[in-house]
Amino acid sequence: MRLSPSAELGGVRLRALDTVGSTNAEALACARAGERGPLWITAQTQTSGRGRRGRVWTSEPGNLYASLLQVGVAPPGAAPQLSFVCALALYDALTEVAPALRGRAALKWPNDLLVDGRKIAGILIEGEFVAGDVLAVVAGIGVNCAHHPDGANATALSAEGEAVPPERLFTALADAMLSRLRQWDGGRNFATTRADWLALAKGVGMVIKVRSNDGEIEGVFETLDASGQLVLKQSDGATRLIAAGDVVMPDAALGVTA
Amino acid sequence: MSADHKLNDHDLIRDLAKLLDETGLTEIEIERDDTRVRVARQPAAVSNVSVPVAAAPAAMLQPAAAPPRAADPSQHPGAVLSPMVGTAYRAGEPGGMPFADVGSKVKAGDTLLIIEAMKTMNHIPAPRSGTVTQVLIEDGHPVEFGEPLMIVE
Repeated sequence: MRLSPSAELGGVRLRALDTVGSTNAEALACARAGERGPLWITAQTQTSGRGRRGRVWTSEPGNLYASLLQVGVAPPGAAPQLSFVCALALYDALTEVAPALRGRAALKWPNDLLVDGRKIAGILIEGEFVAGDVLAVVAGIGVNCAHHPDGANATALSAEGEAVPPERLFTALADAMLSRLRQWDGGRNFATTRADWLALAKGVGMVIKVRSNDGEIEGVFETLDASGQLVLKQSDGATRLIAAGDVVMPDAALGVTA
Repeated sequence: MSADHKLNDHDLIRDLAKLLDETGLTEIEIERDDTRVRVARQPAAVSNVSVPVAAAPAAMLQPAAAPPRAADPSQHPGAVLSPMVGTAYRAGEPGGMPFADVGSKVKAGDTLLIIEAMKTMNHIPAPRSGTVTQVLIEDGHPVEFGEPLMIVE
């Protein structure tokens, strides 16, 4: 793994590991030990890769596993906006190394990257207070370059006919992340991030379902609010703001043809 | 907090206590920058709580008829307030062991719960060492900015 000269000039550092439990856990441990970033931690493979709410992220060699640690980049209330920043950076990087995916790749709330409706990458962001009010944020990004889980509506770059080594994708991702972070400006310019995200998102204006602990609710995905919450208009006219949940879209919203 | 600050706080509390006697009020609360000082006769003695300013309305003077503050857990000196809007989880995964429960002894910095917003999982730490005396949220339910989550004393 290698950073581009411009990323290095931007003060970004890289610790490339062979095997690690989880790049996110490693980055958080670094933050607790005083690391202030920006620091990427990458691994060839993870032995306990994780997703949202304790879900397992299968981590065979050949895919990209990378986490970016940043400390104090935004007030805690703005940190969740990083989901959209990361999703856009990932879209930028993926379509740079695999231009044929432009038009087929799209974003799903809040930060999934899909190709023809199938998940090709996942992002899990974790925040921890390291010194009083200072938030350390780790953005973990997994991209299916060579492998993807079977039967889980997932895909990989290789399965889409794109032979992209994780090293090449990583260099593009680190650059794209720097650009998108500068655009976002610690949340001061979330309006632009939000607009760019909406332009690439699937399901806006369509009927979707959102699953959470409270069960499943259905409604029209109207837009994002100013903080990034999903605005869902239900059939009884009520508007719900969703901060957390799994979005389920009909095939039509994903652009999948049977 | 610097020694200067402490001195000022002590002077301030002394002044407020004097004012309390003079006016016959039961409670006086003032807020400046990020510090709020409340002096009351009953039931609490003197408390000095630092809270995010946005989390609470500014209250310069509480009339004697005001309802007792003890009823509002966000005013409790041991309250841990939510730094963001999101969904609160008491365990790392569904069905997992809660990070902390009533009676749990916690150290400053220990994770009490996680608040998820936009797939960002924020670990909410214990602001001080102590014992969890109240859990004010339900697992998997939404929380608002400034909402009291737990009481650690």
